Amino acid sequence: MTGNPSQGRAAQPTAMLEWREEGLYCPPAGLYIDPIRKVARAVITHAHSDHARKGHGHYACHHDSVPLLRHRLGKKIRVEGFEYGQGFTENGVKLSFHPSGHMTGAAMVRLEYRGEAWVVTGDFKTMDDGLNVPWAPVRCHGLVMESTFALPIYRWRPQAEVAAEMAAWQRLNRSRGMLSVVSAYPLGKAQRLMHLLAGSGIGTALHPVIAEATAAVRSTGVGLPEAMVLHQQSNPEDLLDRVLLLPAMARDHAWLARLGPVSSAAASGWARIRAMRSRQGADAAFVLSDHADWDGLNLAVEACGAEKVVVAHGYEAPFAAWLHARGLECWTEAELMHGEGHHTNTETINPEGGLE
Amino acid sequence: MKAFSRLVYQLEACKGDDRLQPLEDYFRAAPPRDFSHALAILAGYPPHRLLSLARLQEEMLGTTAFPLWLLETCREYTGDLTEALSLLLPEPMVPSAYSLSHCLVLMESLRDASPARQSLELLHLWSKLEGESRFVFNRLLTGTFRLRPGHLLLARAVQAIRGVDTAHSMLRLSERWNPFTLGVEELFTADLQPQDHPRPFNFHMVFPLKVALDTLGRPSAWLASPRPHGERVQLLTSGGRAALWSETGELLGHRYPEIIAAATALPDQSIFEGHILQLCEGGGDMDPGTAAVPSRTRGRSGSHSCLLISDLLQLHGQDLRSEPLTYRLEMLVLTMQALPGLREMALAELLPLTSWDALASLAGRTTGRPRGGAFLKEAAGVYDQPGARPWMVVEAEPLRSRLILRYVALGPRGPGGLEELSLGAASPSGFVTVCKLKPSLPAAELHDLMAVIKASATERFGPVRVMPPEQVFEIEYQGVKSSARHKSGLVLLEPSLLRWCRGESADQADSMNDLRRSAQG
Ligand SMILES: [Zn+2]
Ligand SMILES: [Zn+2]
Repeated sequence: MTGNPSQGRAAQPTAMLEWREEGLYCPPAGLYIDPIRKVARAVITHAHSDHARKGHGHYACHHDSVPLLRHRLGKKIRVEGFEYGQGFTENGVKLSFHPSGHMTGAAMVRLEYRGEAWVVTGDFKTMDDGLNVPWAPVRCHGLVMESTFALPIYRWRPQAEVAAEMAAWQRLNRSRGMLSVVSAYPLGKAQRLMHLLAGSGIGTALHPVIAEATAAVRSTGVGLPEAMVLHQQSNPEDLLDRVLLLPAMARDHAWLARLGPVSSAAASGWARIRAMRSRQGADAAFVLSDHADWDGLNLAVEACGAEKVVVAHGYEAPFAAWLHARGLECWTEAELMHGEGHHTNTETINPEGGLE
Repeated sequence: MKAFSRLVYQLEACKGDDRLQPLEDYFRAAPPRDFSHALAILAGYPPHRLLSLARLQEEMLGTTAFPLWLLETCREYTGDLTEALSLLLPEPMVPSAYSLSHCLVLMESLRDASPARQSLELLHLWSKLEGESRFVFNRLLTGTFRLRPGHLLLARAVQAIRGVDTAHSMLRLSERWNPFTLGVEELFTADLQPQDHPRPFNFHMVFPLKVALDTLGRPSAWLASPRPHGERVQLLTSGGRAALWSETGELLGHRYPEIIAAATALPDQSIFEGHILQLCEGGGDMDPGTAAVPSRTRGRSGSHSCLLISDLLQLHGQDLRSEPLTYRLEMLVLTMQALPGLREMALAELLPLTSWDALASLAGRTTGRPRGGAFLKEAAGVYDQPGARPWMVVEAEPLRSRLILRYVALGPRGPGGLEELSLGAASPSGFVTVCKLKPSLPAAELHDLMAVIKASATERFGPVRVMPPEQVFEIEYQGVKSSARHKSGLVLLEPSLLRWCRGESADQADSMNDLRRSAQG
């Protein structure tokens, strides 16, 4: 029915990449990309916790990810940053970083060895969020890509419309004397919301954890609007005109209740689906994601010209089958790591609630 | 359409009185045409369907050229075919300005159109609607719109916005109207004669049993019956017409036309109290407490509704409420005996008690349906009169089972970051999910469980983790109900989590067969 993507296909997509227990490995260069276990040399696509982990001997990433990695992993890590389009050559492997549009400092990693080029997307979005350097396609023979929202039911609307909806929600809350609270991942999503809301003339108030992450993002030189920092003595009157950004775990904190009646919202790609939306337990849900939607994922495959695709991180199997039906040679990361049909979860569970 | 679909999402996200605010917000802002249409839809009178779900699928797959397997995968994740179909199209470049009534007028205009013209017009409309609006519209289009916030809530919202007395609008809402011809202005000014609809009596009070049984005196002074799981109602007959009132003051006749039709056989100017049951064909899967099992059962959808009558409050205009219960029941039995056998009416059994033990076994009885507990009624008791003793509800001892953890949903709201546990049982064709529960465990156990999830989850889909069939949990529930809508073929009633049976092996858990057996008690 779906056609078996494994038919007439090599066991390994390329000799220049290996899927190991530690993570994605480039044997000629001797380094890992977003490794899961502790390794000597790691290339990091972006600063989210499921991609950038503690304990590696050396980190290489985009320039703007450097302060973010330091913020998350500590000042002492050994890290080197590169501009977009730049990189280094290691034992014949030419490695470079390219904008993925996912968050500040997020990069796709291009590896070229003996005339063969592969791109590892990490997380990416094709929509320009107006805050970060936007995604642009990078030509390659093979693509290792995420598939977080790789079903055609996931389609995003222009972000200005989402911003207008959020602004209307905030105004309604204010007219009722209710505080507007949005739960957001402190790094990435929170700054995107700050920027988006500022465009609708709405300020934000940040939970201390988000304020710290925001300070780290600011230090990269990204232009972010001013924001207030929330604390226990915050005057509820001052907060009514703003949207409060809280890490998901902090949403139920008692001191928040003391500030007065609250309307809570989630902003995530999962909000597209009714069943997921109700699971988020918020009063309102906005469809806003830093990942590519169905159209974005397909665009990314087409625009890079790859003939081989390895699908990771999400709806791997259906998306691989879809691309296979379009004439591409496809693997899922799970089958490369563990052999055919054996799926093992290698993601840690994100303590923030892990929505993005 | 966008405002209405937002209202639908808000109503689905909350319960009870929390639904009032979104309703008021919507009605305050809605253009008059939309007001009448929205009210009709929510009151239970959505337009008749234009397309079958199969035709909608054909249209959507036709225009997107997606293969069927991809649609099926999408449906797996939305849990709803109409939703999956509606979200398949790209989002419009600009937000649509189409109103609810615009969409409904278009839908009406296509009733007699050729399939080709229907496709053309609908594809155009779909391309202009956002995913959420498309979904709500497609529910209307395919006749799968089921949201009913209740007439009382609608009437309260109408009162807040337009100052119409709730009793008056409840009457209006109890009968279908045509929103194409009746705008909101005419809707509530149109002549309605409340005296046409006799009002029910106040319902007799029902309390949970709080005291020890032996403080109630002799068991023989009480009558007991299994508590049915259905809406409590009064059925009124008057001049050849019948009215069915809920405890919340809602007229329900439009939902149970077969009961209203059957009521013509009942004596005039009479009031009966009872519960509405949904009975399956064949009588094999009956609610407890029916003395008369309907013999000839033929319904269109395989089930039909039945009024399980348990009291007679007025007979031929004579108020019986100050008579003792035993007398009212005697009159009720005589009345029912005089009737032809009706499958829409049944007599509830009320048993004299010989001992308190007999009550406990009655409360825990599981005739293939909910263990709803039992009603305890004083044999000499009057109905809603000064000094009357309330009826009491005796809860059943819950059932217990051991189930296997299949999926977990992570989320910010749940304790320890765990939102929901999906528990399942083994069947010959693999594990089947049986219920989803909040992880109500001690903090230390939640922490350990999270570690187990991290270490052993085999797949992830957004916040959902797939678990290997290893962890056993004990749950408590009130009964089992068969259900064709669920993959497991059954629903556990009021399940709750008791404990995590750590270290227990999965083969000690109950199988689907064990669960089905517990349903038979
Ligand atoms: Zn990320
Ligand atoms: Zn990620």
